Amino acid sequence: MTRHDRLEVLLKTLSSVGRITPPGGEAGRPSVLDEPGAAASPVAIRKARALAWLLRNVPVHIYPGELIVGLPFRELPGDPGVQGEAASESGVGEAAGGEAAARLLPPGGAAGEGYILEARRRLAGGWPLEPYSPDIFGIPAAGAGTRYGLLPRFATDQELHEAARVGLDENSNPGHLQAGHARVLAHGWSGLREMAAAKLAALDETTEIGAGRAAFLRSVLIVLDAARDFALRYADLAETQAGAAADPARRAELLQIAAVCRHLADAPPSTFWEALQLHYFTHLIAMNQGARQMGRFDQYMYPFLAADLDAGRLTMDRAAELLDCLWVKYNQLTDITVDNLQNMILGGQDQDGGDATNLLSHMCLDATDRLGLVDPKLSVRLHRGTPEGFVRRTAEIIAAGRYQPGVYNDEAIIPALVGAGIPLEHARDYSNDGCSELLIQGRTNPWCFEAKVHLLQCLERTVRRLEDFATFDDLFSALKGEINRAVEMALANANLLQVAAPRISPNPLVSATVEGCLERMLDLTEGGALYNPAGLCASGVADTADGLAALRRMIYVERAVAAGDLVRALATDFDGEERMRQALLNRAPKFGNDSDEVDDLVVALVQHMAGRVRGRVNPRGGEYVLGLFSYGDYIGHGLMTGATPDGRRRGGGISPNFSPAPGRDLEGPFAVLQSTAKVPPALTPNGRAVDIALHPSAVSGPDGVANMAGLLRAFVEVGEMQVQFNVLDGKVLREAQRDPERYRNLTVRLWGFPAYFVRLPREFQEHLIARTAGR
Amino acid sequence: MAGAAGLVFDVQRFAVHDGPGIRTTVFLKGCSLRCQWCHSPESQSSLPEVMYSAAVCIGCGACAAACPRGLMAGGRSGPGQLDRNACQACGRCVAACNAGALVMVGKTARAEEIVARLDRDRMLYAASGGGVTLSGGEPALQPDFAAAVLRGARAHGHHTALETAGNAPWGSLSALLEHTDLVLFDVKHASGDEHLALTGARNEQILANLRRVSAMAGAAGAGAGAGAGAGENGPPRLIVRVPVIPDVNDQPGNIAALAVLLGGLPRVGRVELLPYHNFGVAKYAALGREYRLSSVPSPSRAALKGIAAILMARGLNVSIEGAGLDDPP
Ligand code: SF4
Ligand code: SF4
Repeated sequence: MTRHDRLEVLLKTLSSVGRITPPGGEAGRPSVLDEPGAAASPVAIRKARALAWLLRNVPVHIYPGELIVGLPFRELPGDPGVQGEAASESGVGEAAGGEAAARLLPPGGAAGEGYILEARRRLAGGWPLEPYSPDIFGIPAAGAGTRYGLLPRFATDQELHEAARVGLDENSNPGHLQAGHARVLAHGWSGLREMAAAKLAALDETTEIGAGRAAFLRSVLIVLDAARDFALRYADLAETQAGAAADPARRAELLQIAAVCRHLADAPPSTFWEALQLHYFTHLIAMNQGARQMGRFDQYMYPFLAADLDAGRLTMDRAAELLDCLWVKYNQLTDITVDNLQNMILGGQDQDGGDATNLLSHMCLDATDRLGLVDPKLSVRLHRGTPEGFVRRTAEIIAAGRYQPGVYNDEAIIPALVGAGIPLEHARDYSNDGCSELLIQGRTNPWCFEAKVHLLQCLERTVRRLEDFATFDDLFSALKGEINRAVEMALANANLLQVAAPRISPNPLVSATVEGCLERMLDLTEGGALYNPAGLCASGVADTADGLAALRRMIYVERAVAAGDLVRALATDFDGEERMRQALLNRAPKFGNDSDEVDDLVVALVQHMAGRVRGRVNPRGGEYVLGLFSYGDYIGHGLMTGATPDGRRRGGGISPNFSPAPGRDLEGPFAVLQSTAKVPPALTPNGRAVDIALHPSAVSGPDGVANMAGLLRAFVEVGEMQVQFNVLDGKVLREAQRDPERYRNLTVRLWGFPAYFVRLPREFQEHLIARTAGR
Repeated sequence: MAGAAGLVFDVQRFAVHDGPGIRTTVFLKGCSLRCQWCHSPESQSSLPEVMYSAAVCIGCGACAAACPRGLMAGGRSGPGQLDRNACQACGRCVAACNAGALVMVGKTARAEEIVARLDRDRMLYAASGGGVTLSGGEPALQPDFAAAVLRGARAHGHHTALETAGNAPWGSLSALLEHTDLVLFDVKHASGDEHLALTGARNEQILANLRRVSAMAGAAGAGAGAGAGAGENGPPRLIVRVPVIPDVNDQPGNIAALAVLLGGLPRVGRVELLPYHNFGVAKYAALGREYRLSSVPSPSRAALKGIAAILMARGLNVSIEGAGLDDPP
């Protein structure tokens, strides 16, 4: 099978993705509580048994053409969905799709535009334009994390009842987890199993602490034994399919798949293929356990690639084909209705501060460029020593309008992590978590996402009392009081969740992979990881500072507006007060334009919050760290927040993450970074994300990629932590036509002069949209 | 001279089509040509003037109340009927307009102020090989100010580019070239009579200046490469830019004459064809002026390639809108 034939066959598997909830529902759900002695055993053991049951019973299937195997956990045994479909898929001949593939991918392997469009079409529909799509896993009040309702029942009624009080259930894995993939590759499941067994053998179980540790170690052994069986189920299946395969080439492949899986059952990987397969098995299981990011894939995987290439066991073409296979597998796990957080970060510094970018970093970018699929969501780490070729390749993919990769700045982030107490060589091994939160890969339970402060709401509450404040300083102090209350509430909530989590969702599988848990014999959820930070995320920073700046100018400096009038205007959504609204909007500076007058307010706000958070210890023994994130919440927050003193109407859009408020940055992308970089990264060791939109004309033409690369270098120099560039396409321009206020800043370049898109007459807007078509 | 001040109507950061790398383009107000197709009519007058955007006007009438001469009467529709001859550009209406619908085009700025603004983007220039471009209007009409900006920018290590139509005394232009790394020289028509009809001025001075610039660039050998040159202080590199406007200057006779003219220059780095678009039309309305070319279409890609071929036959290096000929439009 040629590479492009294989790809075409593999892509067929993606048409079936998207369903997560089993159709059987709660009624037919199995339970491990009926097993002998189960009810009296610790919840960690029961959870482990539930996962073990799943690994031994979840349907297994190998699609035609696959080299990396493992069916997503979407269906319980007995459900008709995938099984029926899988059975029919098995009948698909190896030659299927030849004609279509020829259309999509030119022989020889270079990706044709048609192929990419097709791949996108297959995944089209729900993929949102926002770089950080709403993380909407049906989360009740406090946020319970992802729920894939597949585990057998394992919690007692009492446990369920207590968990429900904080919004958790048996399928909750709150807090954004990341499995330690590097450690799994280094030791294999077998090595981790030995580690746990050795600890258990040396343990005194007669004390209460000892008994707890033993329960944890046993839970790890239970899931690792089941994982071993899971690999063997695939080995058996591959052998069976090999026996039935008509095509001798495919038969040989299946036998090799069987050998790979059988090897992994009892040993660490020794080849690139084995390493990829073990990585994917681990990822598959970890996804079910709420850990979805890959971390520094190019770092932990490269030694396997290099060894195979050096030994002549592997060609570059075959290596790229294996990556294609893995990329398609990731996309089988894609649920296009949510951001599933399958993040991978490439490049950056090594432990000694040298450059760690390697061949595989490039191959991963190439694979994403070639396939045009949504997963994995790529990010890159840049620093002053990043090779030009890698910066350029990154720039090319951004300029092509892929909304990826996200870009991280080692020069800003590593010192910030060191400032938060992480040793330098570990800080250099940071990765992004679910969105853009920072963690040390393989050593951290980051616990992000669950403690949130919505600053604009604090401002809203403060401004209701505007007439009480004689000076701007009075106003600002009152706002700080509101923020303090919001911070305390968020921390209290997050503390409750962290205390509750180990009682309902211990995580033996992910714990086994993260440094510290086996060593300390403590589950991840109880603080077993080496690092146990917890993020407090603040959103709406830009809007709040813009509002403060407008209040200061209009009420306290120019005295152009009376406090009472403003309060009334906000209450009525500026009814009859359009002139006042325009003044708030246009007569005061806005964040994102490199204006100290308002940027200093942002710094003051962040400084205040960092001060409230610093040194606050969480229930796992780590400290809270501040991050500036809104996730997808900014959409809902915008809709439910009334008119605000920055001139925004009720329900209007608010800033995503640490970005300027929509449409308020008028000085170009670098001015945005100059504004944001005024906030010292050390204040936000949990990270922050800046989203910047670029029109294709800014990065097209002969110098387009060079200019994009230049902007990336300048981003590194200016010292911002993380940025997401979006090269806008026609769809966004359409949106700008519908909602001009939000896109006031959208600049297009027309024959030698810049123009704001929304100010152009309609026909010219249409013309521009036509020009961007096909991007 | 250090305190030189000039009339500027825009400072555009993150400009990517005005020379190499990412640049800041400073638009100087006032031009000695009146090209019929001009896309920046607000750049022409050497005086500040009020520009009005109906799209963002909220019709509040504050401008009318503010004008001491009663020139904005009628609120929403007022500025459209502004008697520009009577307007003193005092700016009161602009100050009263909260919506930003009225803008004073043309503000006096000191050279060091401009240079200080450039310094903010230093990292961006360094990372992308960019710098500053003076555009207009015609920068050479404010030679002291333009020279002070260019000199200051260069002294601060920035690459400098000058966009000119060349219709200024050589003394004014050459004073700028001393501080310039790259000249973007507009050539609109080969015939003096046609040039007069289309732009309000003959082209003899322009062409003489073009030859002089070209001879300087020629004396410099290869000239500074893209993105380099800041601090080298050699003679500037030359790029000639030709707007292509259907039925106005794209007739075979004119193209042939331009090919002879440009092909005979001592040295040209590149000739860029700029296809005409009538995007400037909205600004004419905003200034209460009439636009004469509203029915002229943009030239086709094929027509541009045909023109490029004629120029290339003369040994010229040609690009369209800055892109190579085979790049997708
Ligand atoms: S600039 Fe002055 S004179 Fe002219 S319309 Fe405005 S207020 Fe009247
Ligand atoms: S002040 Fe501005 S918004 Fe109000 S009517 Fe005049 S131009 Fe329109």
